[in-house]
Formats: sequence, structure tokens, C-alpha cells
Amino acid sequence: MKIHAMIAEDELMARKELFYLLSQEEDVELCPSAETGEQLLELCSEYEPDVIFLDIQMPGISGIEAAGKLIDQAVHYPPLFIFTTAYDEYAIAAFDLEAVDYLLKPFDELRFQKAMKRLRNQLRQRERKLMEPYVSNPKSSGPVKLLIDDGERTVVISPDMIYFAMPHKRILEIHTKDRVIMSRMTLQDLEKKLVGFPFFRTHRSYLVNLNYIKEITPWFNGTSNITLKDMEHIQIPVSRTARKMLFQMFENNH
Amino acid sequence: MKEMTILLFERLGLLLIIAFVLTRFPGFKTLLNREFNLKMSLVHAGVFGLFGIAGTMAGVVIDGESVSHFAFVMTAVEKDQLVVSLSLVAVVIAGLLGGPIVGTGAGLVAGIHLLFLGGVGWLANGLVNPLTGLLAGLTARFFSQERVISPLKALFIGVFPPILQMHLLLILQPVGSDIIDKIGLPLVLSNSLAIAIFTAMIAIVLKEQENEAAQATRQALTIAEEALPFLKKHHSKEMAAGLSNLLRERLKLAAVSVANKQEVLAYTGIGDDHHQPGQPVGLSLAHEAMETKEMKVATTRSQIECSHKSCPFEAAIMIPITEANDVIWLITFYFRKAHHIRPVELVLAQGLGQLLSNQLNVLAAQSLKLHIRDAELRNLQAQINPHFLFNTLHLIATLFREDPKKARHITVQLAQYMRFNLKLVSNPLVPLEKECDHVNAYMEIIQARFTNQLKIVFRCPETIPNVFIPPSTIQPLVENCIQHGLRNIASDGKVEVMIQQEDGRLRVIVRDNGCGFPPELLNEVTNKPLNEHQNSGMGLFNVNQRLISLLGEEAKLHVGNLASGGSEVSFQIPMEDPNLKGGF
Repeated sequence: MKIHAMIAEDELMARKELFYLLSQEEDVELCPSAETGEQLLELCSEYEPDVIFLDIQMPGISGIEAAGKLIDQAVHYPPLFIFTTAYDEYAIAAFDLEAVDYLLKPFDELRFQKAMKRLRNQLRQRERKLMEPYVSNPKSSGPVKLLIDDGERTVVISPDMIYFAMPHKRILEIHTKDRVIMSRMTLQDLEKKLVGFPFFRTHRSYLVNLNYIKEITPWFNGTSNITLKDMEHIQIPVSRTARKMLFQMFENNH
Repeated sequence: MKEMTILLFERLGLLLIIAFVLTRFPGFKTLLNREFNLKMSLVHAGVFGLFGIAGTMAGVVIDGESVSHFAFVMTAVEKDQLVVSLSLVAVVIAGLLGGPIVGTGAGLVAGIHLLFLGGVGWLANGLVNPLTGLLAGLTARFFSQERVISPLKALFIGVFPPILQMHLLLILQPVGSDIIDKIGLPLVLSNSLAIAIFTAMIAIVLKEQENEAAQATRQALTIAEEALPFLKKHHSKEMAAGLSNLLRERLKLAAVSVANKQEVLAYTGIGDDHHQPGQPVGLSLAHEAMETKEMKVATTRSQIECSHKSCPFEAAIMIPITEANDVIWLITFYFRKAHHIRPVELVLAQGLGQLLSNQLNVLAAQSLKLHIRDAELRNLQAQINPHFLFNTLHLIATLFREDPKKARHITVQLAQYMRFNLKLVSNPLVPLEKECDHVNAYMEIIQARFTNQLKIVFRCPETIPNVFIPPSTIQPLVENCIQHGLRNIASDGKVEVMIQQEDGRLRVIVRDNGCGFPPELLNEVTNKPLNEHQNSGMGLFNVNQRLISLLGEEAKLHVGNLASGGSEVSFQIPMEDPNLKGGF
């Protein structure tokens, strides 16, 4: 299993140091590095690394703040964090963010190896969790109707009519076979209402009905695209983490 | 009756002369201050009793209906004669000034004397005196908040004793009412007026005394205040010269010298042909003054011990000045004649000595406080920012692999930076060149760490001027730019450090092109330690405090935002300040 790692560090030489250390590890695949907190947020949603080596002191958004944002934004599970810092005054903040480890500069190589070991262990645990069968909510069986307010009327719809939903400019588009219902509710609200039905977040802004998936085509960098039945023209992105979970689900339940 | 009145007034005039002499006695002051004990009260009673007897003697004797003899009443009188005594004036004043005990005592003395004189009204005369003394003493209690009863009130009070006397005369020894007619009004008039005049006299004496004291006090205070700028001078000769000039001018003295324990530091005034600065302090009296820490007065030529034939001085006051309980100077006032030294001069000299000593102690305490504060701040400054240290070590660790030559260079820079910081604790001032080296070492390290993020430009004159400056004052300003101004700048950050010489002043300017100071912090940043970011919020405050405490208010930091964005922090120090030439 490859570990996708990202470096977030504002000092060039410090980046080089981590780059060197990580390139010595055979199972690590390096994503592009971020030099500021803002850049990290962008690169992260693009590359979805498994782990970020995160410097705490950076111009703009600090490492701690950036990690907090990434955790809040995560659809399924956030990346793991290994904080790197010159002085251990932020250990408690890092602990709160459930960091894998906390490396003090300059890095001790043995200490670095230990951090990598911890990282591999945690990634393995995550993997194991994914292997567990995907249990749907047993309570919600039978035909249930959904009430959706589109601003003018309340539309009654049965969950199995929904193909997928995505937000577009603050309006949630709920796609059924032949029409699109616009609502002011959020994707999260809809996801909550649909607990127990075979819906899955393939991406931060896509909720897809598993029953309509026709095919999954691999895209670059571990991501994929989904094509739905009856809607071949629409490509729905699947993030790398979501793809793993999706395959796991199909293997266990279908 | 008219003649009687005039006669009594004449006699009272004599009495008032005696009273005037009384006010000149030193013990008289205790009466005015109302500080009595029993012994002093008895003494006062006795004195006023005698005064009363004098009053009696200054009175006249009436024989039947006419004034028989005008001579002073010295001996006992015949049975049918009446003594018209003026003793009540003394007794009333004793009571008013000294209270019931002094009043009654004086009355008893005067009364007993009258009893012995005898005559028609002997009992009445004898009784009225102690009675009046007691009553006047009790009356005085109502005026206890006034130091001396106002003459008008005294006039009013003075009306009653003669009336009382007339009553007693009528009750105890019924003499003819025509005698009362004859002496009644004149007695009332003369008594009350004499008492009023006497109180007025006391008031004048008191005021005189107080004026003199107030003036001396004011003068001493003014001089002490004017001496302050001289006392602040670090150079002892300058200070001594200033002080001696000031004292001679203000006190109009013949000559003044200021000496330390060994030699005369300054001398001004006449006799400067043979009294000169640099001479050793030879007077045995002067040594005595310094040893005992007490003022000494020389009143003869021999005590001045001047071998010069035409030495103009006959007297001198030697005032030791102490600092922290140690005599550091001796100020000598010279006088041509011994009688030029009045008590006022002595009190003034003593007071001045104390005031100057106090001021020196206050100044010493202040400067000690400043130095302690400065040492504290330097100590804080010397604590190397751990982020800086470990990030630099991290950089060096990487450079070993990437660029070993540079790794060596940065290690040397870090060593230099740290060496300077360690020395910071022990040196209040360093040569500007060392400070520049420190800034350079810091810049090199920062540049290596943030290669493609920021650039530091250091502009200083080719030959760095030979000035001393408080250490680590420039580097924290640069650090502040990097940690705050350029905090959110990921590329193209720029810090400019400029050292300029401008008409005798050294100007240091640090600029950046970052976000500038938040407007609400502009005024606070140098006056308050801002602790939001560990180690760095202190920077500007710390530097500002040290600049001000070592070089004064004009060296303070000027903080502002540039119109083009970014901030500018600058300060100026005088290049010729003797404080900056290793005076510590």
C-alpha cells in the first residue's frame, strides 16, 4: 500500500529535508508541497493525501488552523497529521487534533522512523475499519416519502427516485430521472434524511444513490468517475478515499 | 478724671516697654507655641507675676480723693490710701497666653504683693488678681485655635477685669463711690487698651519670626530645586562648579567651596587668589565635619587655618553632604566676619545640607532603579527565541547534505549571534560595529532560511562611526518586521535597515513592506509589552524601554506605517553624548 504524503512547510531547506527523508521511504509517494496554509487547503482537496507533514508556523493560516479546517471539511475521514515544529509549545493543540506524531526540528532520524511506524500502524487500522461490512440502518425499511421544499411548493418524493444530489451556488440540485428539484437545504441535511438508504458521498459535493451506479472509471491520482444509469452524459467524481470505501462496500454488501 | 486717665496711660507706656523686653526672651516662644509642662508653667507664672508687680509699682496711690504722690509705688501705703495697680494687664495676658494655671499663678504673685502693700482696698486688690488670672485663662480656652487672640477681642476682654475690681472694692471695702467714679473709667480704658496693644505686639513678633523662617525655608527649597540639574551631572567637577556658583549667588555669600573627601573641587568668590580647586582639604574642622556627618562652624581665623596673610575670611560654615549614609562632599560657606553668621544662616545651611543629601539619595535610587530595569530587560532580550534557535539548527542539519560550505557559514553566524546575546547580560553599551555584526549574523541566518520569501538590505556608512549604543536594539526591530510585518507575506518580503549620520546624531531606520501595524496598536506597541506572541510581543517595548532609560526620552522609538504599505520604526541617538563613552 502506497502512502500519499504531503509536505506543508514555509522554509525551503526544511522542505528539502523532509523531501529527502520521505524519499528514502519506499512506500511513500509524495504529493506536491504546500508553502502556506492556504496553499495546503487547495492542494489537499486536489490530492487527498493520507498524511500531511505539517509545519505549525507558516505565513497566513498556521499549521494548527489548517489542520482544524481540513478535519471540519473532511467528507469521510480527514488526512492524518504529523506536526513538525522547532519548539514544543503546541504539543497540546496537536494532541487535540489527534495528530499521529509531533516531530521536533532538527529531526532525529530514529525519531522520524518511529513516527513513520506509527503512521503505518494508523493507516492500517483505518484500512481495517474499511473492511468491516457496511451496515445500513435496519430501522428504515419500506417505502418512505421525502418532503422537499423547493421554495414555492413542497415536493413529495420517494428516496429511490433520487439519482444524485449536488449543491450549485448555494442551491441544492436533486436529480431524479427526468427532473431537477431545487432546494435551499444543504447536502448535509439531505444526507441526514437519507440515512438508512443506499446513498453515499463520493465527493465533498456529491451524494449518489448506489443503486443507480452503472460504471466506475479510474481517473488520475487514485480518483475515479462514476456514470449513472439513464444519465450517461454526467460524470460524477469520486475522491480517492471515497473510492476505497465504495469498493469495500460493494465487496461486502453486494 | 482726665488727668487720671492720662497718668495711667503714661504709666502703661512704661509697662509696655517691659512687655516688649519680655517678648525678646527665648522662653517666650514656648508660650506662643502653647507647649507647656508644669515646670515651664510655673516659670511663666513667676515671670508674669513679676511683670504684674512691675504693673503695681507703675501704678499710683490715691489719698482720699486726690492723687497723693506720683512716685512709683515701692513701699507699703497708709491705711487710708488706695493703690491703683496696673497689674491686671500682666495677669490677663498671662491667662490669655498661658491658660488658667499660668494666669492664676501670675495673679497670686501680683495679688500677694498687693496684700503686702496694704491700703484701703488691700483685700479687693489682692483677690482680684488671681481671680482675673483664672478667668482670663478659662476664657483663653475659647480661643485655643488662634495662636494669639486678635487685639480687638483682647480689647473687649480687657474691659472686664477693672470692672470686677471695682465690684470687689465696693463689696469688700465700701470706699466712697466717688473714688470708683474717679478711677473706674480710666482703669477700664487703660487696661483694655494696654492688653490690646500687648497682644498686637505679640502677633507682630510672631509674624516676624514666621516670616523669617518661611523665607529661609523657601530659599532652601528653591536652591535645592535649582541644584538638581547640577546634581544630575555625571562629572563631579562640573557639578561642584555649578553648585558653588548657585549657592554663592543665591545666598550672597563671600565665597563658597565644594570639596570631596580629598580635594577642593570648586571654589567661587573672593579670596580665589589662594583658595583654588585642586587643593587638598586641610582644615581639621572640615575633617571633623565629614567624620561626624555634622555641620561645623568656624568663627575665628585660627579655625580657618589659612596660612595666607591677606585671607579675607574670619568665619565659615562647613556642611557635609551624604549619599547613602556616606559623606561624599563638603560644602563650605565663607564669611568675612564672624557676626555675618546669623542663626538664620546656620539653620539655612543645615537645612540645605539635608535637602541636598536627600536629593542625592533620591537621584541615586532612581539611577539604581533604571540600571536594574535595564539589566532585567537585557536579560529578557538575551533569551534566545527557541524557534529561531531550533529552526536555524534544522537549517544547518539540512545544509550539511545540500551545501556543506553554507552549513559551516551559518554555524559560524549562529555562534556569533549567540555569543553576542550571552554578552548582552553584562554590557549596558556596545560599540555600534558590534551591534552591526550582530544584525548581520541574524540577517544571514534569516536570509538562508527564507531564501525565496524575503530579502533584507542593510545600509550603513562605509566606516561605521565609533559610537556606543545599547546592545541588541536593531536586531529586535528586524525580527519584529519578520515576525509581524511580513507574517503573512509568502514572497517578495523586504526589510531595509538603514544607519545614517545626521548632524551629530545617529539615525537607525528599519522598514518593511509588510502589513504595517494595526492602527490600534500604533501607540501601544512601544509602551506596553504585548504578550500575544511569546517572545516577540516584547521586542519593541523592550528596546524602547532600554533606549529611554539609558539615553533619555529623545532616544525613544518612532513607530509608523508607510503610505506605500509596510511599517517604519526608527530611533536617534546623540553621537557625542558622554554617557555613551563607556561611562558605566
